[in-house]
Amino acid sequence: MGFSGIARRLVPLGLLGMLLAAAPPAWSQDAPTTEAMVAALSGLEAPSDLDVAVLRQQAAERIKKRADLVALKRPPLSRELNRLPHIDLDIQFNPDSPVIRPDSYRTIGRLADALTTPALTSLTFLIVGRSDANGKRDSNMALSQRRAEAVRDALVTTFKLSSKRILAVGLGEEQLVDANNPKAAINQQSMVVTLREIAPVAGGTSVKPPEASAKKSSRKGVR
Amino acid sequence: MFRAVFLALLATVVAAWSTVSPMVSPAMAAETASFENSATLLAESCGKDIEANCLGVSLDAPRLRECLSRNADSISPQCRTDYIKAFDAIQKRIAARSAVWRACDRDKQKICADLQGKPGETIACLLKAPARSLGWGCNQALGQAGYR
Repeated sequence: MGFSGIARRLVPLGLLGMLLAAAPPAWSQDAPTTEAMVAALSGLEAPSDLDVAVLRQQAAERIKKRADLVALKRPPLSRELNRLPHIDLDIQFNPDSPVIRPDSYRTIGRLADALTTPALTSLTFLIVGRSDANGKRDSNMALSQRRAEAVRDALVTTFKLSSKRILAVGLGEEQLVDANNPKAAINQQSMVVTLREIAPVAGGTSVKPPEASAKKSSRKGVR
Repeated sequence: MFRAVFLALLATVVAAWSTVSPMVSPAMAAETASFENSATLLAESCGKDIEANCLGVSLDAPRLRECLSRNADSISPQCRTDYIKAFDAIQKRIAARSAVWRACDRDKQKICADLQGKPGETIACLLKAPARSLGWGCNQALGQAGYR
């Protein structure tokens, strides 16, 4: 009886072991897990006042002026993006289109899980679309802009993330992942960057911040 | 002899408890599916159907849903049942997450009053508090939302 008691005690452990052993194949894909995304995107040391419109304009000007014409070893348009907490994601789109392929739904689902985790819910993020250095520089930038917006739209329309928390910018081949191999496919990876805290919500049942402080904080973007 | 029987009984009780207890908490909370699981179900059951019938439609729940229902006759039976499941599961999680604010309103003001306006920190504060210090409804809501 004692033995059968021990045996019965072991059964749940065995089941648990089987579950744990069975779990990895179901998730096995190169894409980072939700936990890895949360880890990469947390730990913002200082808020960034990066202005998306300015960034877009800088990219457009660089292309127009034909600055850094050779793609090989082209410096990133914004070093700050690489300094902020960020993660590179392989998101598959239809060719020459911003439509997200079903192969990447899981990755977007994980991203939605990550961005709605308590550790990240009070933060604002920037989706950066990028491309390799094949084709025309300006059309690469335009397509990557539409693709970044598609990722943002998926988070907003399907998983109901607040559109205020997610910004999108396309930097084409101005922010290469691997500047030593500008034509390599890895340069098409999208990037998610942690920018700053959201302005505190004024709603709720108690403590409504006075009008003046609310204005101030929204102008600065951060408190 | 008496001692042996007692020990055996004790072992049985412990065994029974350890079998049941891991099942109790999730069963009570009925956690909603993660976005990842729902998105994966949609992709695995409907990926081919989407590429064949909804080529220009991105991951946009209302538009995808509309396209799949419009093409209900041409998509696979698996997709026909699973796309509804997947979108419903996504809706349930969204609803469960927003329900936390209502269900935990009193707990929030009692325990996390100084975090007004910071949603993430408020949830983290509720999760850090011992479950017995929160109301039943709040505990349920946190479980359903997949926060614990």
